[in-house]
Amino acid sequence: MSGTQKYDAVVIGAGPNGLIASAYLAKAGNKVLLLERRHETGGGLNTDEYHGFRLNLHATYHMMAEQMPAYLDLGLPDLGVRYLQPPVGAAFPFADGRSMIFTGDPAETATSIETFSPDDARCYVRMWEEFQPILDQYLIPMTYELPEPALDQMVEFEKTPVGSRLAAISEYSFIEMVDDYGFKDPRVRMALLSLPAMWGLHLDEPLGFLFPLYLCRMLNASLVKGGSHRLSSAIYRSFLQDGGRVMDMSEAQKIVFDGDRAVAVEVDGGERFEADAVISTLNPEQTFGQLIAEEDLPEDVALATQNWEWEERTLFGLHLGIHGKVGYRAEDPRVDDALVVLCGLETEDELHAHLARVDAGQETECDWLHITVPSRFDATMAPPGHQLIRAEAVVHYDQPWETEAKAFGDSAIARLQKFAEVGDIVLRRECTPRDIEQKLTTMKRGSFKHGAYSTLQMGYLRPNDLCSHCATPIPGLFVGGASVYPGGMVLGGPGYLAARVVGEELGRPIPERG
Amino acid sequence: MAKDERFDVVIIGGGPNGMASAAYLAKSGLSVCVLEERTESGGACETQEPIPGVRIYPHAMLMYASAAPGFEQLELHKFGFRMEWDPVSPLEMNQGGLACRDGWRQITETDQIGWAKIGGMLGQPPFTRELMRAAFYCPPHPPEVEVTDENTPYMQVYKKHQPDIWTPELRDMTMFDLMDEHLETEHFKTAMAFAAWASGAAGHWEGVAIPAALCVQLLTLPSMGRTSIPRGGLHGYFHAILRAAVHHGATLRTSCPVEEILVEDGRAVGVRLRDTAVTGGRTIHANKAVIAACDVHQAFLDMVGPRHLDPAVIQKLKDISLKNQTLYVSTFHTKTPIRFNETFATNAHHTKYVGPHRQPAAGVFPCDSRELYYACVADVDGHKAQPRVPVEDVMWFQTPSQAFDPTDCQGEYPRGYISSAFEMAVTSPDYHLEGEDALLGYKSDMDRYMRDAYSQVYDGLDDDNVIHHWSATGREVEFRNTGLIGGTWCGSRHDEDQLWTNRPIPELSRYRSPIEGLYHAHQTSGHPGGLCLMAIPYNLMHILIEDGVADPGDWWYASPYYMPQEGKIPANRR
Repeated sequence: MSGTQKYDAVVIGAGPNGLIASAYLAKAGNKVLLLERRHETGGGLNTDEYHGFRLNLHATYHMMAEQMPAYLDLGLPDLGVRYLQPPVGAAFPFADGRSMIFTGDPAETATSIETFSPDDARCYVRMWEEFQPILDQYLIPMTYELPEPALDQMVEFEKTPVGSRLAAISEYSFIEMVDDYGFKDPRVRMALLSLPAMWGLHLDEPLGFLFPLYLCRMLNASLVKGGSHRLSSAIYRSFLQDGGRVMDMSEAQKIVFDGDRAVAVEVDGGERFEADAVISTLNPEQTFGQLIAEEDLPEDVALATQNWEWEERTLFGLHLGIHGKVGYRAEDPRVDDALVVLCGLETEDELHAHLARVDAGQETECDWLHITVPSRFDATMAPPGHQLIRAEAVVHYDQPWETEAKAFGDSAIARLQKFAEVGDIVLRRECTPRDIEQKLTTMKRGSFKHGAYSTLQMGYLRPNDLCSHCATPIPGLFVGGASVYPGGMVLGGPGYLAARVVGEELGRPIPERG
Repeated sequence: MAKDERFDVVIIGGGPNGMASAAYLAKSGLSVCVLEERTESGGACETQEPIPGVRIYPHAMLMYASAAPGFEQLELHKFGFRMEWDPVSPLEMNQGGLACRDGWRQITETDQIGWAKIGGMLGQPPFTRELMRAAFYCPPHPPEVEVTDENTPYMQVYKKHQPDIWTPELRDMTMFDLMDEHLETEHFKTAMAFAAWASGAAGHWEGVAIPAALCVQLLTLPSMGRTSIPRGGLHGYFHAILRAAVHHGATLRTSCPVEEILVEDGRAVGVRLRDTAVTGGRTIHANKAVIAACDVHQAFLDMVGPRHLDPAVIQKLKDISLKNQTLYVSTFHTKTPIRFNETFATNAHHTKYVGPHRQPAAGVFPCDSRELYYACVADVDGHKAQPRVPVEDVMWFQTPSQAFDPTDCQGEYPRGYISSAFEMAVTSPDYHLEGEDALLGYKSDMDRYMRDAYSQVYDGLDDDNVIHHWSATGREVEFRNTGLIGGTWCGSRHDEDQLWTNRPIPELSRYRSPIEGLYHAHQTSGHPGGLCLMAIPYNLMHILIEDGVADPGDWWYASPYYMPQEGKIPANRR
């Protein structure tokens, strides 16, 4: 095809949010084109098969799963999406063979905590008595509603007792949160703080509202049967069924302006696609810094983009194909049933020391691993007689990964073998922060969230107060990736909200949530 | 679980043939459901990214399908399909000669003219596309028609456009016979015969001279004389077809293995899924047709079952020979670029394309004489085990498809250089003396043998320089992809017994089966076999029109060489 083609919306980037935004808009009757740089759609929803092992090289844990509006709105069950929820959310085996088990059921979890500290078990139950209504009434529904400015939101919260409590804890850091609920045992505190820390969050950042969210999400997280990519291919087919067009191997080069309005996207090779609405799901530096010429960029947006902060902490991934069995040495057999097993740290102090070493770039040997054995819950992930292990470690981006990856992987394997019996390793892949960035260029510095989670980059301020409602100060240009409220981690929030805003703008709104 | 469902057509298998059939039928207005056993569709059209930014193609990698009517009929360009051409013409490369054990040997003008003539390039006007379509894009003639020199499509084309190729013996010849008549140098003939063998039809097989030669020419002649791949590899080609199919309303379901094709009163009425199927009802009814776009053995021996088929047909299907080569594909990731060694670094025509960002285009090494070719064939056909030809004599070829895809990181990856793909024919795993899994156990030996062979031509494949050697054995190919039975890339040989009205057996050669309403559309089961040609779906359409299953719109055109079956609706009535 040559010349210019006109669409209602052109969406840049076919990761989960780009796919969701496109599919919703197409379903509402809009003519939509989705552009993708890579040969494959899905972004971080990536599953590569090697010798019968299906490796989720990026996103693995699905934290909103069936709560994501797209799941039903786009008919994903009929398109083959099946979530599998392991019986245990997270397990913490200790060096002495004991372990702590966290499930979606606070009472069951409290029973496990009780063997370490009866007092803390009571604190845990009390904490959940407060968290559950906060989650149900506020935090979960808010994930799929446009954010309000902090002051307005506080006023809103103060209207109910549950909201008032949320307002109070929102200003806590994660450490203050476990202090406030009275947790004392160093292992219990380590475990609780690990659940946000494993995602690279800073424990002293006053992002208290994220604490119940991360606990809830991690303890109810799921895997996608057959691999994470199946979620993206279902959304892809939903989009195609509704008349959507996909161009892969098409990297957006430029957002074209007519006056102050964004009117088209140009891809490599010079093809140009006109649109009433351009939606970028890339990171702010790419959208505003690379795709838009300096003279077309409003000053306030340019300033906000300059201030965008990346993260130092990212993840090192290790994928092992195993011939034979994988079994944890922990006494409690439920450790094997856990979606994620966190091992290597014994106390809160060790967690802080670990994170300090990571931040200082001194974590040259792997101390702390988060391990998942997807094939235990889904036999299609490994060949018969084999298991697949996925392990991750929080690491610093600025380490010499090109030369250190193998040694770090060796130390991760050694760490793993302390806690689990592992059969013969027949396949091994390391995925360093450099690999993340090279493969998925939106994830600069390995930032799978498209930018740090800090108070100045969350809520109404993500990516900034000009753009967090998906519309931007530039007419015709919208944003909807992980750098936009509510953020990354395959919540499907930014894509959904962008479709809502753009659907209204185009006069063909997406359906109200049922 | 959802209740039972109903579609006009149910297609078993979401590889390129199943999906293109779905696109044709959905575009014809039928409701179509494609059921794929694996978690992702695409079959052999697969792209892997072993390290970020580097794409490799473990199976199908080059584009053979350029002459397919499907590009126009399905309007694939509207669904994101784009081609990339090798900037270096094979003709230009050939001026540098071909690689023999002692270095480059020149080819002659007679070689070039003879080869171009066989490929229809010297007609007035050139008739390459017509020739390719005649050979591959026409359903086999109906059973009541005796196949003759006069009605064989490619024979008609030669007679009309290039009568000096046409001889009464042409249909019985080997490709070597044909080349002996029209070409001059032994090394050129050897290289082409080897390329044909690797494409499924060997240079020494009788009765397939033209299909064998054209298999090689499909790579270059119909697409401006240059090797070409779709942007993003055959994955990009497949996804354009998928998008067309889904756009026209086809339903694709992955992780949905079929247990049984349901037959009632001699008619296929639907399929029953295995209990492990992820989506939909357990039974899917087909109003008009069930199309088995999966391995012919699976379809007729496992899914249909003996009580619905004549024992003689079953025996014939079991007897289909898989005895052919399979390709062992290697891709190298090296610290410094690989380079021609002293013997081969002498030739400006080749060396100018070698370097940090460039590899030589498709080539066969070494191609001194047909004795080397026969030794390789005998090794693969006879030893049924590890290669025994000395590494300096074994023939192999290289298809650096990525070298000309501007979207790939070929040669620019910061941590090294990618050289792909090196291919060698090896015994199909089914014929391995020690069982079909034995190849996996020998993988490190095989990798070593391959590198020693490739090192006859290139420097830089030593242990110190190689960061990764990614390789795929025939067994791995088969494991991943049940449609590649025996690990053979074309499903079975493209020999005289397995082409045209003989593929897979004469009773099934027109994509029909003894069961009414059950059709087949797979490389193992129908003419012209493998190579992702989009030919079987096009050919099948003729038959479905004959049977009143499909009634496509004005976009449809039939093959000019197609012969309707008596008593059926002619597919070329427009």
